[in-house]
Amino acid sequence: MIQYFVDIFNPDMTFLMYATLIGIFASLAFGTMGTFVVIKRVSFIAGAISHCILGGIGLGMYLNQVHQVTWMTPQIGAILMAVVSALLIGIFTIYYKEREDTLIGALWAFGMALGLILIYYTPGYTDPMSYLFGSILMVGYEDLITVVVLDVLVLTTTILFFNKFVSICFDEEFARLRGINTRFYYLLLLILIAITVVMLINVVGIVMIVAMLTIPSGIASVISKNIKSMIIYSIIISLFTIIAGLSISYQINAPSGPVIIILSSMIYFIAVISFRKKIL
Amino acid sequence: MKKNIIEVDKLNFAYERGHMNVLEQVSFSISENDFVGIIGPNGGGKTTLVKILLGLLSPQSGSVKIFGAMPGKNPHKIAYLPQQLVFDPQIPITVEEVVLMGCLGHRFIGLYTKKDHENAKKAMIKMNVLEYQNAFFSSLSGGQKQRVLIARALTCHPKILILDEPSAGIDTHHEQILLELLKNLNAEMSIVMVSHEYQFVSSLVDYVICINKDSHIHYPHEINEKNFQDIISKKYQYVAHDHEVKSK
Repeated sequence: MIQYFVDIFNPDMTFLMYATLIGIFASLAFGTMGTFVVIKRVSFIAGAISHCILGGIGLGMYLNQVHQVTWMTPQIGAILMAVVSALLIGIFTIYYKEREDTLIGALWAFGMALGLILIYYTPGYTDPMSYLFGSILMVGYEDLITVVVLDVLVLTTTILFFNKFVSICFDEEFARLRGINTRFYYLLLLILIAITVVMLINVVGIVMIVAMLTIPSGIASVISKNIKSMIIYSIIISLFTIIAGLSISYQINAPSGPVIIILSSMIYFIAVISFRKKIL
Repeated sequence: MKKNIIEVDKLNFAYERGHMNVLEQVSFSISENDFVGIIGPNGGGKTTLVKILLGLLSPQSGSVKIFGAMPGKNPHKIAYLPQQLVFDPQIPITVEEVVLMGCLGHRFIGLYTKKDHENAKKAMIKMNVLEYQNAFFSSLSGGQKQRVLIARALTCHPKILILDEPSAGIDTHHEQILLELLKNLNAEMSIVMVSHEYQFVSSLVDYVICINKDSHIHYPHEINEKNFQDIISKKYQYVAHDHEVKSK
């Protein structure tokens, strides 16, 4: 593990430095949005958004390579699809009172199917595995800048509307009675979750995003005294599991995403057994 | 002469267009500093009426004015204690954080100010819950939670407090504490208390509005244990409805 920390500063291994910096910056958004995902109980919405992103990636690749739409990169496609799917879920559940689980199931599969078809029609070979399971060691300077920009967006918005987000998670009816547009803030919260999901693709991949958005905050909820401390603990736990997972995976030559998830899941199970009251 | 702050005139409401009315030709007015009980059988439309007063449901016809304006236009003048708060007990939220939510809506952005914290503290003192300010909300008893929620409602200095079945789920001891606190609050605001138990409201109210699809005003001296059931079940016509589905 020590070798990992030595190699971070090795100029021939800049990918390791970028991976570490992305892990550090992304943890801020994961911990913050993860807290809202856990207390609002929308982890499966985050799962549906993450799987829809494959459709966005496929769309970006297809339009970019087949129709020469140069601005439409897979990353832009991912962000657009994440936001659109978040809005679709929000609008269908708010205005059409559609069952959330059915809608999530439909969007989850739709995004994956769309992505696979568009990747199939894009010339050249693209291995969807790196998107599905993450490739944090393949990131570069541009990825780091994207994460920092998205981080600033997510954190600034959360600080500005923190009280409103907490109120709609705890007691939506009361928030509405105080004149707060709860529908707008719910949709805004889903959009911020969607943006955070995009950041997670590189770290753990589409398939395991839900885990990273729920496990650190799940651990934090067990030990926190209030929402603000839950966010701080979530950030610290995200940071620890990503850096520890990266260093372990580097040491044992294993894929980093699954190692991060296994490590954080084990901490979660221990925390629940140790701190939650057992109901007899 | 006391000023009317709630005016309801010939109110009709149905949850679905073309369905039977849950409320029909309901008319009454409430003045400042009145203590009013709203009684009626289960399913008689009491909670529906409350949701209309709060601006959560819109009537099909008739007029409802709160401080001369449409319901929902003066959110800080009206405070509400719900029948039951369905919340996730695993959310790590303290009593102070819950009470501070009463300050929501004053500003578009930003965190709570020092003044908000002072207002929350005053409300907690008033409802006798200051000692629990750092405790988890989920760790409190039913009666304590209720007082915390009233404190939350009071932080915006409302002129009307509406309580929906406040005696549900609390013991006699907490009922007495609550009634004593409400009596003191009545000097500052009008109180509207919804209940299906007349005995609970009888000692405090100036009058009761019996809601059983339509409305009738009764004064405490007119009601006793013997005629109470006759009064609330008169012309009883239950219309099946669900409060959650159609809230706007």
